[in-house]
Amino acid sequence: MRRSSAHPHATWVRCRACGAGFYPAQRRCTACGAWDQLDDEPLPRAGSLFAWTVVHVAAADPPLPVPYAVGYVDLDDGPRVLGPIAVDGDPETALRSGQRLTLVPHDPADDVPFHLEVAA
Amino acid sequence: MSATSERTVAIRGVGTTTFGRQPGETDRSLAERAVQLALADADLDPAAIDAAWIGNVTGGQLGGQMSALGQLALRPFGVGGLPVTRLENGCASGSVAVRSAYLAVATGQADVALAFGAEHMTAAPTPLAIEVLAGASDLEAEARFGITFPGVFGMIARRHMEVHGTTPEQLAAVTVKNRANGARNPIAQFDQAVTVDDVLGARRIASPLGLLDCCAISDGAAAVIVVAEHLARPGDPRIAASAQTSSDFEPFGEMTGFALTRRAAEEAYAQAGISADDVDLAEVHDCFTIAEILHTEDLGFCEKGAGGPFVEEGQTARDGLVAVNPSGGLGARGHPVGATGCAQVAEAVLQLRGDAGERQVDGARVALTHTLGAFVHGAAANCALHVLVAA
Ligand SMILES: [Zn+2]
Repeated sequence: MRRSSAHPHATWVRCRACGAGFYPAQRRCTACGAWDQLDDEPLPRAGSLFAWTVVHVAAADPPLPVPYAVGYVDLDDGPRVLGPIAVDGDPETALRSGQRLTLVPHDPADDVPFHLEVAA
Repeated sequence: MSATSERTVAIRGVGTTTFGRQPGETDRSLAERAVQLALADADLDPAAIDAAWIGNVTGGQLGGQMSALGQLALRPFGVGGLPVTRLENGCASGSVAVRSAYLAVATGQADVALAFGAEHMTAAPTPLAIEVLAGASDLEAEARFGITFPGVFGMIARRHMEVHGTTPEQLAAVTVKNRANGARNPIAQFDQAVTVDDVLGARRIASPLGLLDCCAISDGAAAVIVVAEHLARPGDPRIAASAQTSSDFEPFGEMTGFALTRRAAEEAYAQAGISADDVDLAEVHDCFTIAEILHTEDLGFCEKGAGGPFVEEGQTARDGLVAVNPSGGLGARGHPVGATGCAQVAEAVLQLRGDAGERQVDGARVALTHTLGAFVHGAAANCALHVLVAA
């Protein structure tokens, strides 16, 4: 699995012309048609868990130890993004839909741009 | 967009290899066998083929044959010179190959067009196959975070349970039905019946889905020979509709169904001049148990949210209101991904000709095939749908 993004970690883009936001990043604004008016913005750091699963059989790459939780989170005033969810203990019992999560950005050198944690 | 054909299009022959783990074969050797079977079924000389499309997804990464798979598989038939195209549209590749053949014949570009599909996936270590298949999601925003295809449908299953009250037993009913159908299909990967308890007790793959909620990695090939009306024989089924849609990247919504399936069905029913009630049997993309439940809703066989009770009550059994996956579907027949669309159409043809043996759906006159490919941003990326009618 080799593909990364042309944009910085844990960002989405917002249109200078009309204010619409897009994730993952793109160059054209779908809402107003403007080109090259989209600026990188940090993803919001908090949101609510929309859908989730616990993966027990993983791909060769990324080589994650199983089981691990992954889910879509609706970021506050932001997009719905998929990310790995770090939990203490058994992820099957630690998560529930609607739960508040925190988005934690990773170092630019890391293959994975961010992860999610259960909010304190 | 209307795709009403200029010419009536029929299917004159089909062929499907055995599906399942076949260590001595390759995608190329399986494709060669499927074409042989389809030509024999059609009683046509290979020289009659005007153009060909082959569906293949993982061959480049798992087998290494990046290009020319179709040309190489057809070489033994001595039909060099014709246009041959390899087609990759995720797990819908074989269906889009059928659609390409259909369009070529409908528009008069070909009188005989071959659609085939082949995949050999079991030689690779399973984690590698899972990685390659996860490449059918958005690598930037999805796959690199560790989501797998079972994981995607695990999330959808949990959503459907939360929103519509679907139960694990209802998911299991899909596998029980499809394995029972597969037990009557000589080419099926799985020919053993299973119980609801077997499905519920299987080891977890991606919660809430277990091993028996998931189709398996598979090897196989299938071929379909599409002809203009003047080359059809009495009894050859006709293609009454062909529709293809992509994700429109609308917001995820409830993530409990696929808008692109609903749009493709609406278009196909209009082309064929039928409604969902007219469909006698449907081969649908049950890559996971929850998927079949969504499709029965999105294709209009039951109301949105009612797909769980619909299968549990036997309405999708071979003798039910609409027979769904009488072949056993992806779950039991198997899912060598590029071959699946052609295998679905092959099953529809056998059913409409009355040639489906022990799994024959009584009085089958109208058949639907539905295939999805890839998954991006909460929705499938491709959908291809065909309606076939008996002669
Ligand atoms: Zn804009």
